[in-house]
Amino acid sequence: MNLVAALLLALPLAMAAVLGLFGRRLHGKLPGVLAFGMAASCFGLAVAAFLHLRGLPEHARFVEASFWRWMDLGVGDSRLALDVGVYLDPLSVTWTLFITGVGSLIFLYSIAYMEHEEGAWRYFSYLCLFLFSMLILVLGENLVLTFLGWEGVGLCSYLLIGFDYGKEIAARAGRKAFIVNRIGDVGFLIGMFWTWKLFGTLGHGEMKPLMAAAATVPPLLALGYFVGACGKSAQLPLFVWLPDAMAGPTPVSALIHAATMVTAGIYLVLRLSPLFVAADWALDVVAWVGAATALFAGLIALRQRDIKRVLAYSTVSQLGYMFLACGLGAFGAAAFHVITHAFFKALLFLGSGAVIHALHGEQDLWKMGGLKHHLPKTARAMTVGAFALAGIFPFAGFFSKDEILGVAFAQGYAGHTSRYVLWGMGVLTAALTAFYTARMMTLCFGGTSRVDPHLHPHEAPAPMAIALQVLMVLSIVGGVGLGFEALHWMPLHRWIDPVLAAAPHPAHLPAALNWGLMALAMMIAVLAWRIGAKWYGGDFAPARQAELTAPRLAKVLLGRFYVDEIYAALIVRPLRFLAELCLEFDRRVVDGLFRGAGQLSALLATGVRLAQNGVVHVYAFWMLVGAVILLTLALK
Amino acid sequence: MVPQAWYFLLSALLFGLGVAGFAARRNTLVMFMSVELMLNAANLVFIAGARDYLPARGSACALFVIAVAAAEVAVGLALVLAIFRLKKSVVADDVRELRA
Repeated sequence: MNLVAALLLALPLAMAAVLGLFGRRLHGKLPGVLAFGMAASCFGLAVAAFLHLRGLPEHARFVEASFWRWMDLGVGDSRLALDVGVYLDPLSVTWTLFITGVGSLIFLYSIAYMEHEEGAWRYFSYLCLFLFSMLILVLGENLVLTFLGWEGVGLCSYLLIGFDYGKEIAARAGRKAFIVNRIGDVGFLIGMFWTWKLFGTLGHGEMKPLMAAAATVPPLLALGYFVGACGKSAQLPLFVWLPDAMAGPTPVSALIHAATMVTAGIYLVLRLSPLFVAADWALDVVAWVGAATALFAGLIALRQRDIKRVLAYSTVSQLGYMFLACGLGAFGAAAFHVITHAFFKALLFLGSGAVIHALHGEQDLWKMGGLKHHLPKTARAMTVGAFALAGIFPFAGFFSKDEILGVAFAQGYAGHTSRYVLWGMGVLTAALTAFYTARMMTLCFGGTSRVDPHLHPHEAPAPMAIALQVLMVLSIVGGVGLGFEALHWMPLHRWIDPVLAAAPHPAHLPAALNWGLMALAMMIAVLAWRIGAKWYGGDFAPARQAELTAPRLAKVLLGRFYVDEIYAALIVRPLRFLAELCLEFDRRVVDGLFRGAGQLSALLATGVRLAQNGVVHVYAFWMLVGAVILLTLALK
Repeated sequence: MVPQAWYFLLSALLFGLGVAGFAARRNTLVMFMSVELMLNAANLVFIAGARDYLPARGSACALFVIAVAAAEVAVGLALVLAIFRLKKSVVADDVRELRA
C-alpha cells in the first residue's frame, strides 16, 4: 500500500516535471496523451487503494505511511515533528477517487480542447502539478502537508487562470484568485497554530482520537479553518475570485473551479469535523454562511450573460449547499453532494466548453440559441447535467440536494425552529437553480439561432465527446448509485460516515413527511424549470427586452450585487492610497536620505580631490610633512 | 678617530640637500639624484652606527639599502625613459595625468 500511495504522489509530480522541462520539444497531442495516461494510472492506483481499504475491518480502515522525517522542531514539551507521508482513510480515498476519476476525463477532454493552443505542454504541466498538489492536499499525513497542497492548488489555479497571460483580464483574474485565497489562508494558519497549541500534534491520524476526546474547543479555532475554507471554496464574503477565474481555459474551470479544488474547503471541514462539532456555535456560522452563499450566488446567476459565469455562480451556490450540510452536522451528505456535483458540474463545464469551442470562443448566451440542431450530442449531455444541477429526479443532484434539505427540515421538525429558515433558503435556492439552469439551457440550445451566421458550429472531436458521455452516465447514476436516503440505501454513508463526526443534533423525519418533502422539492424544481424554459424559449426579443429594461433589483443582479465595487471602495482603494503614500514616503524621505548621503560624500570628495593635482612636488611636500609629523610623534 | 656626531651631522646635511633638491628642481633626473642623495645619507648613518655599535647588522642594512637603491634606479630610469618617449620631456611638471 505504501508503494501505491507513493506512486499516487510521485507520478503526477514526475509528469509535471517532465512536461515542464521537456514539453516544449513534444509536438501535437503527445503532452496531452502522456498527461492523460498518467492521470488514468493514478485513477487505477486510487481504485487499488479503495479496494485495499474496503477489505479492512471498519474500525481499522486506515493506512498511515510515512516516507521520511520532514522536520523536527521545538524544545521540551512543545515539539512539532512532521513526517512526509500519506494518510489513507475512506474520506481521503473518496476524494482521491473522484479527483483522479473526473480528473482523467478532463485530461482526456483537454487533449482535443488544447490541440490548437500555443503552449499546450505548459498547460498539461500545470495540470499535472495541480493533480499532485490536490493529492497532497487530501492524502497528506498531517495538516501541514494538507496546507502545502492547499497552497499548491492555489498556485496551479493562479497559473492556469492566467494561462493566457497575454490577455490582461486573465492575468488580473489570476492575481485576484491568488490574493483572495491568501486572506483565507491566514485563517487556516491561525487554526493550525492553535490546534498545535491545543493538541501538540498536527498529524491526521494522531489528531483523530484527540479531537474525538475534546469536549469543547474554542469556536474561533474552528472558524479559523472555516475562513480558509471560505477562501478556497468561494463562500461569502470571499467568493469574488471564482467567477473571475472563468478567464482560464474551460477544462480548467471544470477541473479546478468546479469539481476538485473548490471542494478542498469541504474536505477540510470534513477532516476536522469533530473539531467543528466540539466548537459550540461554529457549526451554526458554517450553516448560515453556506445557506446565505447558496441563495446569494443563485440570485446573481439569474442574470448573467456569460455561460461560464452562470456556471461559476451556480458552483458557488452549490458549494453553499455543501457548507450548509456541514453546518447541519450532515457531513456525509456534504460529501455526497461534493461527489455528485463533481460529476454534473464537470459535465456542464465541459459541455459549455464544447459549445464555446464550436462557436470559436463565443461565451455570450445572447449570441447562442438553437444549438441543439448543430450540437445534438452536446445538448443531450448538457441537458442531463442541467437536470442533475436543477435537482430533478432521478438525476444525481436530486439525491444529494434532497438529503441536505431533508436534514435541515428534520432538525426544524425536531424543535430547532431556526433550521426551518435554513431549509426555506435551501428550497428557494433550489427553485432559483432550476430557473437559471433552464434559462441557460434554453438560451444556449433552444429557441431560434442568434449565432453569428459566419460560424458553422460542429460537434466536438472524439476525446471531448467521450469525456462528455462518461460524465453524462455518471450524472445519471452517480446519485442513486451512491445513496437514496428515503429508501435507506446509503452505501456512501456507510463507507464514509465512520470517519466523520456524528451530527450534534441527529433528527429523523417520519417516512411520509420525508416523501412529501421530496415530492415538494421535485415539484418546485420542475415548475421553476418550466417557467424558465417558457420565459426564454419563445421569441428572444421580449425576454431580452425584459432583461434590459429590468427594474432596479434585476440591475443589481446583473451588477452582481456590486460586491466587487464595494470591495474596491472599501479595501482596494484605501490600500492603494496607503501604497501610494508609502511610495511617496519612500521617494522623498527614504530615497532622500540615501541620496543626501551620496551627495554629501560627493561634496567632501570634491574638496579632497583638490589635493590630487598630479604635481609630484606637492605630493613630495605632503609626504615630507607626514614624515616630520610621524617622526615628531615617534621621538616624543 | 672622527667623532660619531660628525657623521650624523654630515648625513643630516646630505639628507637636507636631497630633500631641498627634490623639492626645488623640476628635472626628473635631478630629482632622482636627490633621492639617491637621501638614500646615501641614510647609508652613512648605518655605516657610522655599524662602526660603533652593531657592526654586522649595520653593514647588512647598508648593503640592503644599496641593493634597493640599485633596483629603484633601474625602475625609475626606465620610467623616466618611457615618459620621455611619450612627452619628449623630462620635466616633472609636464606630467600631470594623475590630476583628479
